[in-house]
Amino acid sequence: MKKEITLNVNGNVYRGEVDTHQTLSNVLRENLNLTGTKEGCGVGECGACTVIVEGRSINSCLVLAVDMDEREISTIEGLASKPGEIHDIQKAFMDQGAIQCGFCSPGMMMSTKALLDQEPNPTDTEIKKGLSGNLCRCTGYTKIFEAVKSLKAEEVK
Amino acid sequence: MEVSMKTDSLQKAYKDFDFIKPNSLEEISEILAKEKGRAQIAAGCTDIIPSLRKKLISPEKMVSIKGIPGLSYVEQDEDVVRIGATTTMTDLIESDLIRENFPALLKAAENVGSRHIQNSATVVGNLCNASPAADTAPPLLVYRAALKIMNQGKEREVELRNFFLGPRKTVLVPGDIVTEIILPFPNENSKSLFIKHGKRKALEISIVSVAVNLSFDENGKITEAHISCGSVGPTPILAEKTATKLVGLKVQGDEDLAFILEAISSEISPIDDVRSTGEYRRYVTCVLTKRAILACCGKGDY
Repeated sequence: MKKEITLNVNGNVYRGEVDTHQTLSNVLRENLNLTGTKEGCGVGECGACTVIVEGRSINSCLVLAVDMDEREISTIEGLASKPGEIHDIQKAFMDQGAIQCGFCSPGMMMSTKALLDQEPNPTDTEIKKGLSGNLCRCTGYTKIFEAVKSLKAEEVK
Repeated sequence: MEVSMKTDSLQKAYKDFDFIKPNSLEEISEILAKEKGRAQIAAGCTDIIPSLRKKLISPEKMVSIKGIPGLSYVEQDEDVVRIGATTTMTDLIESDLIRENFPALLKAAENVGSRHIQNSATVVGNLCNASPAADTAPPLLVYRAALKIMNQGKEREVELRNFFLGPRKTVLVPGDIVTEIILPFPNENSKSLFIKHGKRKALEISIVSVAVNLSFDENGKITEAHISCGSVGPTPILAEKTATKLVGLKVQGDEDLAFILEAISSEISPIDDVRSTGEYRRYVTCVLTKRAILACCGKGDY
């Protein structure tokens, strides 16, 4: 069944019809062509689909797009301020070698963004909790953890 | 910038359904009553979408409760705390009322899935989903929670201990909506604790979970005891017989709790599944219960 919805993604307003059974991750990728958001497990275990909805990180594979009508969503595509540039979080991940295959990276970075927006100086435990919903099968997490640590407000100063 | 969406037809993983976002609880209740089992309330959706994908449920109508204002709250009302129907795990974790008075519930909410899941998942949804492994069920049971249920304008209260009937089965009938959790404050001189045992710390469905809530007199003797266990039976279990045996005891150490293994064993019925064997669960339930009791009595870490 189709329903008309409006989504605000990275400051752009999208209007259109979606199928009621489509998840947000599915609409982002298939309807809006925003393929930075990945879908791994589809049941909320891997975090590759992490997006931020009004300040909170969520699994976009676990919400129906129709349920996100009129909501403000940030995806990895909106992280850098303009095309061709990269965000500090992206730079930190590159500098620390926190990316291998890259499939978890958009989700990891969105979780990092949500964490740092809420707590600019997270403790080690807070970083681990903030990233607890994201699985990485390549890096062993150490480099990702170091990348986030290097972004702490007091480290950057 | 305004862009219109492509409307590609997608292969769907499950049966088509209608999605409705009513403006009132009465309206939702009427739809649920009329549709009997064919309509499903949608709140956080963190359990619903995996269930749809696994074809465990196939509703014809999905009825969102999130559009109704004023259902997300944790507030004090004289001697109880009221938790609204759309209150998320994150709302609980961020609530001072919960942090200061219900440590076992706080710990359970922090143990649900991951940060992302906690941001979406609702506490009421965790109960209505009626998984034997529901993280918030054991603490809510030991805190003697009750549920306010509304059906087409008529309200009733059900104690949580009488709510679960089996895996994914509750006393709810078509038209019922759980609108609120009612949580009495713990006794003045009491201690409570929740322990979840799994293979890893996050994104884990418990192998066993245990919540304990003990009240003491001025000499440290237990005056009231509640124990609840998750993942060791068809529903979250309130181990009342074991708890009764604690009343009157002044626990000094492990040696005072030798009866726990036999007592708790008679109240649980753990099974073998992908997460664990029944035998292991039985043993770990005993260990965790003892640890939780000792910690509440100030006689050890957990």
